[in-house]
Amino acid sequence: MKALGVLLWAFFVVAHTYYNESLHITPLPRNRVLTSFEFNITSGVLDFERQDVSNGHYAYFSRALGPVIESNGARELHLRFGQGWWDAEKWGELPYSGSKSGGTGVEVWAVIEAPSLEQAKKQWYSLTKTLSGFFCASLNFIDDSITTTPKHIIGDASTVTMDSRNSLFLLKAALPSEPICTENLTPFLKLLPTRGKAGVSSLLDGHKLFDSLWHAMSIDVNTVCTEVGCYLDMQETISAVIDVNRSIRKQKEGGVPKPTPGEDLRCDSTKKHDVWTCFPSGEDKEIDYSLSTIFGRSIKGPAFVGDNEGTLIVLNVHPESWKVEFVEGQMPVARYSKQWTIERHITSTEPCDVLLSCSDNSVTSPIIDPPVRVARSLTGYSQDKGGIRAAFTNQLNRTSRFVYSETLPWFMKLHMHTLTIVGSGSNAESWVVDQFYRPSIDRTRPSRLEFVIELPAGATLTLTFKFHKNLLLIHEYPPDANHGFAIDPAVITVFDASDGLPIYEFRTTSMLLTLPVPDFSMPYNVIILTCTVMSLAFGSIFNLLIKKTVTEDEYQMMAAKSGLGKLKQKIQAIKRSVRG
Amino acid sequence: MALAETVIRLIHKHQVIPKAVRYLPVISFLVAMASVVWLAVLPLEGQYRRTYISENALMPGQVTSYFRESEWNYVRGFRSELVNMESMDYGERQSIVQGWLDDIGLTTDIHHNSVNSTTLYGVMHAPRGDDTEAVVLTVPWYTSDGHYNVGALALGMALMRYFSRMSIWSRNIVVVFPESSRVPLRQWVDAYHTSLPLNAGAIDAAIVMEYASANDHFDYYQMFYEGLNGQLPNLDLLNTANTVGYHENIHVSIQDTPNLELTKNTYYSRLRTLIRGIVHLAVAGLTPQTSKGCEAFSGWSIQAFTIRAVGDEGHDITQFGRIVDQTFRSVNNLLEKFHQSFFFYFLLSRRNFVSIGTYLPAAVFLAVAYALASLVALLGSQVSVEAYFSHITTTLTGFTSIMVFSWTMSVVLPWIAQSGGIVAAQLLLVVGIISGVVLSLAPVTRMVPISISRPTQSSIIGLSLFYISMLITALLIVHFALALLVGLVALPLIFVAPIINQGPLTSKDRIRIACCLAVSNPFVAIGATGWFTGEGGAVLLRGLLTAWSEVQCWTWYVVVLGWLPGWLGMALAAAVPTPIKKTRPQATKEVKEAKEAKEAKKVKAA
Repeated sequence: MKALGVLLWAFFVVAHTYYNESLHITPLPRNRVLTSFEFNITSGVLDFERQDVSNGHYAYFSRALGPVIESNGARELHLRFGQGWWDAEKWGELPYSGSKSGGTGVEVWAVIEAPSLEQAKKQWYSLTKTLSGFFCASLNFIDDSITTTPKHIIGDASTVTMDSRNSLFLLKAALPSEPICTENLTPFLKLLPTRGKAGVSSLLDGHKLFDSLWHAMSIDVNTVCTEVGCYLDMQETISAVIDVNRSIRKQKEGGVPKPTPGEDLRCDSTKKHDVWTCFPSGEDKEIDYSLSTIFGRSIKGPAFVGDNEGTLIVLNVHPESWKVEFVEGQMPVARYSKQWTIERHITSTEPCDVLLSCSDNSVTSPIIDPPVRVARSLTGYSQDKGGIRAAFTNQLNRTSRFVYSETLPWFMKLHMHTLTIVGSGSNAESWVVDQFYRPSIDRTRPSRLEFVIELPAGATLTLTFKFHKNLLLIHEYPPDANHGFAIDPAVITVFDASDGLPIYEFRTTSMLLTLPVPDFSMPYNVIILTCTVMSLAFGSIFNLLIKKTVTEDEYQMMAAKSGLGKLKQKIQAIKRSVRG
Repeated sequence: MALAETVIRLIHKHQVIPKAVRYLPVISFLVAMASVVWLAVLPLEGQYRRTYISENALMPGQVTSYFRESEWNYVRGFRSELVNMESMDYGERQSIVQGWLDDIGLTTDIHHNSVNSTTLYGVMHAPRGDDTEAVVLTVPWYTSDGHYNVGALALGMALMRYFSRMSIWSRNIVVVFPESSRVPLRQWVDAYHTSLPLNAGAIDAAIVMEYASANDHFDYYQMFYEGLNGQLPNLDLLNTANTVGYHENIHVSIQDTPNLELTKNTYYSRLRTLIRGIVHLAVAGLTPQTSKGCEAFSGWSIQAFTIRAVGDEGHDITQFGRIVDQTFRSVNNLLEKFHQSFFFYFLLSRRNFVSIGTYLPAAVFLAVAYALASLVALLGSQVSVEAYFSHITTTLTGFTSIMVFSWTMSVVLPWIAQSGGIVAAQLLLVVGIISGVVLSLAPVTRMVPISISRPTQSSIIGLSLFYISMLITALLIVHFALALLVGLVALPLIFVAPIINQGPLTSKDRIRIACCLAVSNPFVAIGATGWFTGEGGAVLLRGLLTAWSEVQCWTWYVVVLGWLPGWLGMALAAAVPTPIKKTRPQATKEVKEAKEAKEAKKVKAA
C-alpha cells in the first residue's frame, strides 16, 4: 500500500512537470500578421517546509527563477513587457483577450504572502531588484512612489497561503518609459528549457521581433495547489504584429527605403499614368510568405525529440482565400486549404517552415471588435495645471461593465471636485456605479483612481478631471527632464455580465506630462549671484565698521596734515617764492 | 559706501539734480532716440551672431533623403488627380483624400469646426512607438493668399505615403488638411488638445506647406515663423530646416526678401529684415494676410513654421518635400522637447540673428523715455507737491473713468465688429479716427469737454505717460515687437508736457500739441498702418477686434487697455486751456541761490 502511495506520488510529480509550446499565426488585414508564441512550464511539487526541492522540481522549470519567487514569498508573479500601438479598429481584440499584454514599457505585479504589509513590501522590493538584473529592465527603480495596491483585482487571484497566519498582498508597479529591446528578449528565452535552440522558440530573433508594429511579452507564474502538493505553473507568451510587406521588402532590397525603380512602379491604370506620372495603386491582393520571410529563420524541429505533442502550430485563416503548406527540410509535407483553423504538431527534426499563400489579402478571419474603446489624452497647455480626458465607447449591443483604473504619480495633484461625467444619455452620471480614490502622498505613494462603469449598449461616456503639477526637487528630475514624464497607461478590465469574471482587459497608451523644468544652469547662477551679494554686503559692513566718517572740513584739514598735503604746501610755497 | 558718499557729495556740489530737471525733456527725447539707434546698430558687423544648431541630437542634413526619383512620379500622380478635383465640392474632395489616406494605412477622422467647415486629419502611428509624441504636417486646401494649394497637397500625400514605408519613426505623424490655415486650423489645434477622438500625443513640431502651383519646379522657398502674441518657434527648428535647404542648395527668403536679394547680406538687407521682422511679429495672426498658418499652433509649446515654394523653375519639387522629410527626421532624433537654443530672437538673414539679450535694451530705452517724460510733466509744471496731493482724488477719479471707458470699449467694439462684419469695422474706424482727430484738435478749437485744474492736468499727463511706460515694461519680454511699435508710434506724446509747461500757449504751440496727439492716436495709427500695408485700415481693425475670439491673439487688448487710456488721458488733459503765468521755472531759482552762495563763498575766500 505504501509502495503504491509512493508510486502515485511519483506519478503526480511526473505528471505535473510538463512543458509544451505553441505558435499561433493569424493573418490580419493590410498584410499584417499576428504571431503569438506560448510556452507552458510546470515545476515539480514544492516542499515549503524543507525549503528544498524535490528532484523533479527543476526538470523544465527555470532553476534561476524558482528560488527568487520562493524566497520572496511570491505566490503569483506577473511581468509584462510591451511596445507599440495596438490598432483595435483594424486588428480587433488583443490576443488572449488582453490578459497577456501590458501597456507601453514594463509592468509587474505580484501576490506576496507575508504577515504584514511592511513585510510584504520588503519582499516586493527584494523581488523586483532581483528581477531587474534578471530581465535587464529598470525594475530596480520601483519604489514606494510608484507601487500601488489595486482594489479591483487584475487577473484572477486564486492563490492560497502556505502559512495560515500570513495574508496575501497584491502589489503592482509600472515603468511606462522603459524601452523594450533585444536585451529583454534574451532572458525570456533563457527561461525556456529549450533555450531558444529548438522548437518554435528557435524562430525568435530580436532584430526581426522588435521590427514589428506592436509586440508584447509576458510571464505569469502562479502557485497551484492540488491534493498532492503545490507546484509553480509558468506561462510565457511573446506576441507581435508584423508588417509582412516590410519584411518582404527588407529581404529583397535591404532595410533602406530606397525609391522604387521606375519599371517596378505599380500605378493605378484607371488614372493618368505615363513615364513621368504614377498614381500609386493599392497593394497587391495576392501575397505569399513564409515563417522564414517574417523571422528570417525556420523552426528547428520539435522542442524535445520524441515528444510528439509538445510543439504545436496553429493558423487562423479564412478558408476562402488562404492556403497553407508545411515544409520540412525541402519537402512539402502537408497542404491545407478551405479550413478555418489549421493545427499541426511538429515531430520531425528537419527544419520546418510554413508557407502561406493568399488570393485576396483583404479576406481574413473575422475581426472581433473589443467590447469597449477608450480615448485618453491630456488636456490644457499651461505649465502649472492640466487635465485628463477619457472617453469610453461601448461597442457591444448590450451593457458593458468594466473597471477603469489609473495610477497617477504624486506630482500630479488631482482635483477630484473637477470631475465631470458627460455621456450620450441624460442619466450618464448613474453609469459610474462605483468610485475608488486613494490620494497620493508626496514622494511616498501615487494616487490610485478606479471607476466601475456600466455603459449601456452603444453609449459613450467622457470623464474629465483636472490636476495641478507639483514642482520637483532639483535632484528628482531625470537626466532627460525636458522629454516629459511618462504617465502609466490606464487599465480597463471588462467583466462578464452573468458571472462577473473578467472577459477582456486592455491598456491605453501612456502619456507624456510636461512639468515645469528649471534651466539646470540656474543653481550655478544662484550661487554666483548669492556670492556677489554676500561680498557686497560684507564689503559695505566691513567699511562701516573699520572706516571713520569725517566731514568735508575735517577731511581737508586732515589732508593738509598728511605727507602728501605737506609736500603740496611746500611746492606751492616754492611756486609762490619763484613768482615772487 | 565711501564711494557712494563721494558721489552724493559731488552731485550736491555740482547741482546735478536741478540741472537734470531742467534738461529732462531733452534727456527723455535722447533716450527715446537711443532706442532707435540701438536697433540700427544691431545689423552692424559684430553686433549680431551666426546661427548654429544648439541641440546636438538634431543632426540636420546628416541622412540621405530618399524622397526623390520615382517618388516624383507619385507626386505627379497625386497632383494630376488634385488638379481635376479643383472644381469639385469641398466635401467630395475631402472624402477622396480621406480614401487615399485610408489606403496608405492612416487612421483618419474629420473635425467639424464652428465656421461651417471641416478639417480632415489622419494619424500615422509610429511602428513600435510609445504613442506619446507627434509631429504635424499641415497642408491647407487654400493658401493664405486664397489660392488652391495643389502643389503642396500633392507633395503632402506623396510624403505621407513615403513616411508610412519607413520604420524609423519614434513619433507619430499627423497630417492635417484644413480648408484654410487660419481659423479652421486654429480650431483643429484647439480641439486636438480638448476633444478630438484621435490623439497622437504631445505635438513637438509642425510644418505648414504651401505651393499653389501645378508646376514641377520651384525657384526658392519662403519661410514664415511668427507666432501669436509674440511667440516664436525654437530657433533650432528654423535652423534645422534652413540647414537642410542649404544642403539642397535652395535659397530661402525670410521676411519677404525679394528674389534678387536672397544672396545679399549687407547692413541694409539685415536692417530691412530686422524691421520687417518686428512689424510682422507685431501684427501676426491679426488678418488673413498676416496669418501664414504656423501661428495656429502657438500656445501649446509646439514649434511651428510655414514654408512656401515660390517660382516655377529651378529646383525640382521633391526637393521642397525633402526639406519637410529631413526636418521631421531631425525632430524624430530628439530625445527631449525643444528647449536648447532661443525662443526670442530676430533673424537678420538666414545665417544671422540677434537674441533677446541684445535687442531688449531698445524697448527698455523707450520705457525709460516715457518714465522721464512723465517726470517732466510732474516736475516741470511748477505745481507744488502739496497741490498735487490736494488734487489727487480728481486725478484718480479722472483716470479711473478713462479706464472704465476703455474697458467698455474693449468689450463693445469686438462685439460690434463680430456682429456687423466688415462694414461695421469700416464704420468703427471712421468714427474712431474722427473722434480721435476732433479730440486732438480740442486745444486749437478750444472746444473743451471738461475743465480741470492745473495740478490735475499735470498729474493726469504724468500718470498717462507713466502708464504707457509701465505697459512697455510689462510687454517688452513677452511681446517685444508690440511694445516697441506702440512705444514708437505713441512717442509724440512725450513732447506734449514740455510744451504745456512753457507757459501761456501760443496758437502755434496749440497746433503742435494737436499734431502730436493726432499722430499718436491708436485709430489713426491703425488706419495709417492698414493703408501702408495695402490691406486697408478696416480689415486691420476688424482683425484686431476679432483676433481674440478667432485665434486667441490679445493685441487688441494691449491697444485698448494700454495705449488708448494713455492717449485719452493725454488728450483730455492737454485740451484744458489753463492760462499759465510765464515765470522762470523753480529749478532756475535753486540754481540762482546756489550761484549766490558760491559768489558769497568766493568773496569770503578772497
